[in-house]
Order: sequence, then C-alpha cells, then structure tokens
Amino acid sequence: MTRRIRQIRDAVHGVYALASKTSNTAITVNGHIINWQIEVHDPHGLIDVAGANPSRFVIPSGWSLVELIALAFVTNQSASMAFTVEWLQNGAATNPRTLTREATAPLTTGGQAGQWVHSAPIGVVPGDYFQVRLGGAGTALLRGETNPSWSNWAAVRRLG
Amino acid sequence: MIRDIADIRDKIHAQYALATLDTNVAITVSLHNISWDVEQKDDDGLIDVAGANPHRFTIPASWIPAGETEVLVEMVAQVHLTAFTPAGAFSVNWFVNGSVIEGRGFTREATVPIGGEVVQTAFSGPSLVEAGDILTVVLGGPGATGTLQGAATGSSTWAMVRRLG
Repeated sequence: MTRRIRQIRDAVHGVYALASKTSNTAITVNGHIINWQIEVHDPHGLIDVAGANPSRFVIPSGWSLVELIALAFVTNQSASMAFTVEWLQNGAATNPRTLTREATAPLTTGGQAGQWVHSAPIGVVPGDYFQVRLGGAGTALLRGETNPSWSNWAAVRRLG
Repeated sequence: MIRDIADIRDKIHAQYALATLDTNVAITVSLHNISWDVEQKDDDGLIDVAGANPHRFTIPASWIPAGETEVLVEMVAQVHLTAFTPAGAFSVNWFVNGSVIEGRGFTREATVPIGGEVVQTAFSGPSLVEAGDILTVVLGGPGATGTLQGAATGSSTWAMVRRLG
C-alpha cells in the first residue's frame, strides 16, 4: 500500500475516540451516566478520564459530523426492569434519539443485560459533549474488566 | 492533515439519506412498511416523503461508480414501538425490492410482553445494490398491533442508507 493511500484510509476511518471501563461499579441503574476509566484510543483529546468530567466526549475543533456507538453491560440486577441505553448531547437526548431498550422486559432479578446503541450521523460543533445514560430499575453492577467482551465501552467517530 | 485528504473523508461520509418519523402511528405490526415523515438529509433524492411511496429509499444512478452496475451501501434503522400486543416475537428487517436480504439486515426480538415497549436496531452490513433498487424497513410480528413512536423530541424511529463504495 502506498503511503498516500494509507493516509487517506486513516483519515477516513481512523479518526475516533474510544473509552472503556476497567473495574466493576455498583450503580443505581435508572439515570446513571457512565464514567469512563481508560482512554483506549483518544489521539484528539475528546475525553479525560482523570479529569473533572470522565463521562464526557467533547468535540474538538474542526469536527462537524460524528456517529456514536456504545455497549452497556450490567449484571446482578436487584429488580426486574426494561434496560435502556442512550446517548446524550450536551446533557439532552440526541436528535434523532439513539436510545435502545432491551425488549425482553422485565429482565429478571439477578440477571444480566448487554445492550448496544448506534446513532445515525449527528451534526456537531466544537465543544459539544456526549455521554451515555442508562435507564431501568434497582441497582446493578456496571461491568468493567480486562476481558473486553464484558466491558462497557463507547466510541465517537468523526465522519466530517 | 493534508487538506485534500480531509476533503475526501468529508465527501465519503456525507453521502447518505436519513429519514425519520415525527408523528405517532398506530399499526398492525405484521409485514408493516414504515412510511417516513421527514427527510432529515437527502441530498441525492433517495426518498420522497410527500410522494406516493414515502416508505421507499431508491438507489440513485448518481451513486453507481462509472463503468460499474452496482454500488456498496449499508443500511441502519431504529424502530421504537409501544403498546405492542399481544405478546410475541418482534422483528425489524431491511427489504431490497420487496425481499429480505438473506442473512443480513435482520434482527429479531423475542418475547415482547403485552403492552410492551421496544427500541430495536437493524443493521445491514455492507450490501451491493443497483440503481433503482428499492430499500424498505419492514416490521414483523404475530399479527400484533402497536404504536410507532415519532412524536417525542427527536424521533426515535429513523432509517439511514449510506454509500460506502
């Protein structure tokens, strides 16, 4: 592959931020906003897990269009519930909203639920911030582990 | 980043059509074609919500690369349904020219409870299509009824066709 083609490929597909969790967190499910614990890939500085707002992906200068992807995974539920995951833009539900809801409600007490959410392209301006919020009932363990299939993660990818 | 490479990225990702609902619609779920209300973005004229077929995304000839007959696309749809009754399996499907894409574009939710609410996403994966091909979002269920949700702030029922090739 020529260097030029590689540059183009990286510019098209390689501009994104990905954060994850590394340890379990006991949470009250409904309304919980996930705080990320590790910047898996963040060369453009969208997220600062050691800062004051470890839940936020902040859009940097020059970005105008993004797509959002997240996987939320909980276990040890204390109550049956319908489990929901959604992206917030500047603290509010995005438009078009990207909420998903586990359909096998009510999920049983003590069970586990994994749910992913994938947005349509969303227009942004620098300084916009995105967070992942959960919905449901009771308490649960929000998973974060070295095994990525058991971890919560979220990504913001630049489209334009 | 070199400016022309950024331009290439922007042009590649900008070619998509996105349609949403902005009203709630009572439906019979089984083999229901979703008709769209709003063209959120449709620079290349894939969908006409004011026309005779507001449920159709039609692949334009302008998307076909010179010298070829097909183009690579991906489709994503999210469907938000409430008051689903009776209980049964619920599915969201992308159809091409009236048929389901074998092994793709299909997701299925099981055991939705009576009165249940579900938000389900169907993702096609990369798919080859031709100019004039018609893409539709079709719901499946056991003859159940429900209400498609579109009136909430920012529609939670939407569909997108994006050019990849």
